[in-house]
Amino acid sequence: MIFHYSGRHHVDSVPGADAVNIRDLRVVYDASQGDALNCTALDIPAGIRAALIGPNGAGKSTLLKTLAGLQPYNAGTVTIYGRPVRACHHRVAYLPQRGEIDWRFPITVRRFVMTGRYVHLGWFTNPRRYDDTLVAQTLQRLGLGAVADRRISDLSGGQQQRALLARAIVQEAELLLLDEPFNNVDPETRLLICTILDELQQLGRTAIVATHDLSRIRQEFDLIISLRAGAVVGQQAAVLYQQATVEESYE
Amino acid sequence: MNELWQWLIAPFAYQFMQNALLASLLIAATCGIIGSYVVLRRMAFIGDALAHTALPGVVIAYMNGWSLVGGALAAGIMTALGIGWMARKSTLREDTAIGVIFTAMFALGILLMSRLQSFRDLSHILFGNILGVQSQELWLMTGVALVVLVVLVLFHKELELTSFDSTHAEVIGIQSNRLRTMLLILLAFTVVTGIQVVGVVLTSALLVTPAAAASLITSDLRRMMVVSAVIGAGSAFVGLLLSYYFAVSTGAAIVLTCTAVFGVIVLVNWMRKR
Repeated sequence: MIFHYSGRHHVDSVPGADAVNIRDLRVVYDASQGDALNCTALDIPAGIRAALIGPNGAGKSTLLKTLAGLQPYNAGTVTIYGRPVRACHHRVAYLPQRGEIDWRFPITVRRFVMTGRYVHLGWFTNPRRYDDTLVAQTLQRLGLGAVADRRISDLSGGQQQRALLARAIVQEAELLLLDEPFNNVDPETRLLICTILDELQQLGRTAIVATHDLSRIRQEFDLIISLRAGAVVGQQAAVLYQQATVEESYE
Repeated sequence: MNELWQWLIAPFAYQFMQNALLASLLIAATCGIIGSYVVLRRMAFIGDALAHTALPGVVIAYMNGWSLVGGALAAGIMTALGIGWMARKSTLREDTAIGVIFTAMFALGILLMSRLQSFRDLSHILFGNILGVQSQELWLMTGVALVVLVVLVLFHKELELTSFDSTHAEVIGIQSNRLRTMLLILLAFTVVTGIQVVGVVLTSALLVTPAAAASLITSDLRRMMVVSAVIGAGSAFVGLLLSYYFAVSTGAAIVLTCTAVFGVIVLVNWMRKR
């Protein structure tokens, strides 16, 4: 017996659906400042790694938050695997920018990662052996085994990012939304994150990553989506992407 | 040894001291447990506000001959809901809005009290009156404390999660606003029992001080709650003894014992770091 959060029932994804379909989406924070996000059409197929690029304020975070169901939108439709946003919470994992979490809170790394399992447990249910094993394995995989029982406040920036990724992995989500995962992390962590995203792709998972770091973007991603002033201004396969066009979008 | 034992138990030969001990142990422990959230979620000011806004509820209940605890509870729950509502709707910063409302409510309570001739009857609301606890009230407080504990245990993992990462909670479908309102209502319940022990003015000390002390010596929320409850209950016991032997205010003695424990822990921490 599971008491699901928000009282929704399990909804299967539509077979063969894209990971994300957006039509005529508009997000407005403040009417006097125009649209924070205005997207006529965006389709992200399942099983790919997509990068969101663009200057600060281009709407990268807003787009990710909309997909995560955190940001209410004013018009348009957004579907995740063919279902409305928030129809099935366990399918989407969102990794916020690190500053959105209170890292001083007294909780161990192990328990922090365990919160990724909560969506499968629901109310009134504590983690079981399967959850413990999965968390322990994932901590090892991400090189956090030695700090598993330390407080999250003891972690370095790179370790915090790995803990966030570990939590998304144990959630067994199909769509991962990562907001600036490469900010202030060590090269080792960066490599590990990319390796894990590769592995997840092998399993058919989809990742959408907002990033400023364009140095290895052609190797690390399949699709590049550029945003500027809240609008999608370009969408193309990463291998075709020219550094020049990338730099242009930052002018 | 035997003399010390006598010194410790002699006061509790009296029925009123037994009642006071049971009530204050129970209440201080509950305050310590929920106080862990108060400290970690930076709600100390709200705890204080909930205690102060209980005053007009109590005075109005007294004037109409209703249950005083009932009046305090009603006022506390209204404040809890009001704070939750204001946090969502108002453009004022939350602490500013609380500051405006709670001082107004407290002033209203004092105003109503001053209209009554019998200020003394209500002074124990301000400063606590644990020695006057009746067995019937003791049952009521036990009930309240049990409700608070059961709800905190049932919703532990979600309350913990929303305390440090409400974004993840929202993504997986937990409405953190509702949990917060629930926590505020539990806090109102707890505060009303705390008022019996140390009074309106000092209740937030029972919420904050033991939990703050516990936060310095443990790194896990559940352990912090246990340690905080032990510090609270221990201080209640010591404070009660002190007030018996030195004829001082019980509420103040309990609060200052909590503060002393906090001070010792800060000092030990500081010396270990050097």
